[in-house]
Amino acid sequence: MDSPLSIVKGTLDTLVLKALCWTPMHGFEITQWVETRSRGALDVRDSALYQALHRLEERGFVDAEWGITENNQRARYYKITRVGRAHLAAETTQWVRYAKTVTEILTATPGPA
Amino acid sequence: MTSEIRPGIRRLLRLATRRTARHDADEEIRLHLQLRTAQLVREGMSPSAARAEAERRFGDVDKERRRVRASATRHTRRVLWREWLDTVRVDVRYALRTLRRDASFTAFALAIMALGIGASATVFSLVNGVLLQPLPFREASRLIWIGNIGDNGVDEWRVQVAHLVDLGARNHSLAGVAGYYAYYSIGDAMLSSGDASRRLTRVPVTCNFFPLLGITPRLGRSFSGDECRDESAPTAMLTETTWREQFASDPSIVGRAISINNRPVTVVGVLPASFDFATVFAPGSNADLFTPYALSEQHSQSGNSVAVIGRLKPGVSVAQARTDLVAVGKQLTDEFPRRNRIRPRVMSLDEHVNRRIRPALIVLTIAVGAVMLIVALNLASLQFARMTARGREIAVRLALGGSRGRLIRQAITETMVLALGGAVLGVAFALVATRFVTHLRAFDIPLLARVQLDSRSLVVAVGIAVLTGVIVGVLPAVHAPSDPNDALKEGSRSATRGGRHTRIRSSLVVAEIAAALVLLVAAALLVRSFVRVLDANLGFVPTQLARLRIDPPRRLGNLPTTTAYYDDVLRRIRALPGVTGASLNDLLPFTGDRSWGIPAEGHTYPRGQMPEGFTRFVADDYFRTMGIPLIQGRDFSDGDTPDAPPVVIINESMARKLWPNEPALGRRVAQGKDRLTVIGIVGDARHTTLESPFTGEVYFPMRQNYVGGRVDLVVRSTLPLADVAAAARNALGPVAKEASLGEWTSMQTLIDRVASPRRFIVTVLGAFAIFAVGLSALGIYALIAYGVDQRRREIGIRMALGASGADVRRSILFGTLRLAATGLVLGVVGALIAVPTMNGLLFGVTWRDPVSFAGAVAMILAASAAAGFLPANRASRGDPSIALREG
Repeated sequence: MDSPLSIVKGTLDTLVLKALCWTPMHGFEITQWVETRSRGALDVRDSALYQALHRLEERGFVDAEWGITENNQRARYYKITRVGRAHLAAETTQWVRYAKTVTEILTATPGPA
Repeated sequence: MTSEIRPGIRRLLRLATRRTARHDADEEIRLHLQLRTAQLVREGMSPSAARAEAERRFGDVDKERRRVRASATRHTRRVLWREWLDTVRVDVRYALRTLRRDASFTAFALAIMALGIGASATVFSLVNGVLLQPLPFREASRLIWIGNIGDNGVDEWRVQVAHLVDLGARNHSLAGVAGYYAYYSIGDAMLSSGDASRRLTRVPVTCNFFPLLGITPRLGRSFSGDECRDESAPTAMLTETTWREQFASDPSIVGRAISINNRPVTVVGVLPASFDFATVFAPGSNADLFTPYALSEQHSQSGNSVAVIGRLKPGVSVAQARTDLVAVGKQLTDEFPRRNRIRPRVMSLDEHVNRRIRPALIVLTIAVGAVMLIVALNLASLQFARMTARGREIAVRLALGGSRGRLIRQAITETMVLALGGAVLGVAFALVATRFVTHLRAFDIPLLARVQLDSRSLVVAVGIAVLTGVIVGVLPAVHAPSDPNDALKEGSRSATRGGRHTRIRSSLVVAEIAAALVLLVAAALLVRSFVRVLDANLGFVPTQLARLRIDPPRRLGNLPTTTAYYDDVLRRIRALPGVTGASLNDLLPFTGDRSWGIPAEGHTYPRGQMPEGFTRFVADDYFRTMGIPLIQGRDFSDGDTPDAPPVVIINESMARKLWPNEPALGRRVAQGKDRLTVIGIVGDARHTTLESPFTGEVYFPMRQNYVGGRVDLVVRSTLPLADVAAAARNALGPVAKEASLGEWTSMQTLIDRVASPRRFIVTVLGAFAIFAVGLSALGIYALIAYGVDQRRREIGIRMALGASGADVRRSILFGTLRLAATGLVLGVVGALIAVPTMNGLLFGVTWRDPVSFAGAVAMILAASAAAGFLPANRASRGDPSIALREG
């Protein structure tokens, strides 16, 4: 397996929003979601995730509520807000465009401009 | 977003999270580690290794925990703040809705708040600018004014030059003394450049005048010692305004020669814009340039001619300097019998500048406080009325579980919204008012020009308004019934609560009436003083009297040419239609003072006992023109030539001073080596102020005495001033080319100017008082109308049982007047305490003046009766059956 990629600044927030897109989750579930989806390729520090969550909460992109896990444990569940969804959509478009452009440049056969 | 959750539920959530913000963070981390460990164990790790791996993956747990905690706390705080803002927004929206529903109340409340705040901010700004701020000089608290107590015991403000020099040399308390020549005349410096010329006012100052005040020239330097000698080449310093307006702010002006009165004068410096001579030293009249004044023996011979200021040595008090200077003055008087006596009168410069206006401003401050009090009481009373009217709503809300705290907060919000709205309007009002007041050229108030609406005054005024809002808002909510059941059951017929509210409102109205009475008494006293001042016998008739300043042509250098010139001027003027009299005077009443010692022939007077009189040089027919009665003897005539025996006319006061209980006509007075025969006795006229008593006056004929400077032409005419001016301009055409003519003004404007500080405070205080009375009347009206409304049923029953409309009316009016009477008694007591502070402002009345008190009481009684009459009348007209059915 390749060594894990350190995460590009700012993308963690977007990933978290994406994770919450389907259903509210608590912190650990989000970690697992990111790990599963990236098949372990992204190195996310667990603490960084919580900071991202607070950041998102402050900006009103997610809401937090205490709930109970399947195993009857108290956990803080995060839920994406309407503004959060809009933000996610915008960020996604942006990211895809960016990635596509950079990829095209980097993978093109060298030649005169 | 959060708005999806209902506020109430959100609050519950918040209660859970608030206390545990940090604990939550810990718990979240704990759960994370636990779940991670479990996962790793499932993947086949040993529990202890799994735990270690979980912690490793989390990062530095302690550090991260702190970070998460901090972020959680911050976040919680933000949420709380946002929620608080949300409730405020809700409250404000609610308040706006209620206020809109009560549009007339809102408009009224806003208006009185705006007036109250505006008036107090304006007055505070005025007081601050004029009284509280130091004078615009370096270490202004160390500057003193050294006056001189005249021989007649009256305060003089000038000193002989030699005394100025010796005071400076012999004192032990001052770092320096300086002065300016007090007899500078307005517009006596003719600045010419090319063909154009302009009259400027030049003030001669001692060499160290500006350094002593601590003023650094903007350009160039102050006068050097060499420049302050009689024989030195003429130099000048320009004010910033003169430099800007006359020389287009020419940066190379210093060192250049300008032409003043056709002589070259070298400019040595330009003063900073912040220096304004007129506002401090001579309210109202501007100075345009300064020239050095030599402290020479020659200048000393012109008598008490310099106004003196000093700077205290560090650590020396004004009182110490006073003791020191008085001692030096005594020493000088004893040592130099040939000089005038000097008895220094020492005070801080600030006191000298402000002493005339200080009592007025203090009274104004108190008055504005009373106005604010009345505004607050009125608002409180109205708010009570509204709360009572909304009693049912409040009761319902309490019954449905609304908390009292919340109710109070809402009430506060409502009054705060009002107060802030009032504050915004008030600030606007204050801006306009301050601008208006400071631009009142007619008012002769020192330092007025530097008054500006300052933020501290605004903060104070708005603070008062907000505080009022809080107090006024809290009271009714606190007083809401403790048991909602009562209020609901009682409905509009509530007896106990209604009674209590009425009692509270009655006391508010009583307090309002009391405060209004104090203001009204003060205003009445001032108005009466003002009337007395204006009524004061001037000694001359100012109506239909016009004046024009004439600066004679330079070519007139001696008595014959001057006499011929003025004869020509007067002939032309007297020939005009409507003119019934015209004459000249070199120093009109209220334009300045100049007094000389005039001994009776053959008398020797002990030092300091020489009779003094204001001296004037006048042309023929002056007394008839002015309306000053000629009591004995004759007027000056064209026979009083330089070759004829020298003559003089004195007024009655002077005659009594010179020859007590003896006839004065035909006696002679000494003037230098001359002996002048008294050919006429005229009536007394006012001189410096309207309030000052009559004193001696001596008139010399211009035909026998050369007057080289400016004179005032006075014209009595049956036509309006403008017509006189137009006709005179034509008639004087040929003459005016040579002379410089001022503006035509009426004699009345001179008098108005002298009376202006008094008029100013009378106007302001009068407006305050009327405002206060109006508000009190309104308070009474609202209270009585409310009472009548509450008692409709009772009134209905009484009328059904045979009481007539008149009975009802009488009983309501009686209640009103009883209320008013209580307020009046309190008010009279308050006035008796407060009014003596304004004794200094009164003229011709004492502060116990029964007319003022009675008038104020009568006015408030009338206003109260009128306010009570409307509801009383309405009640007595009502149909009892309707009142009973509706009740």
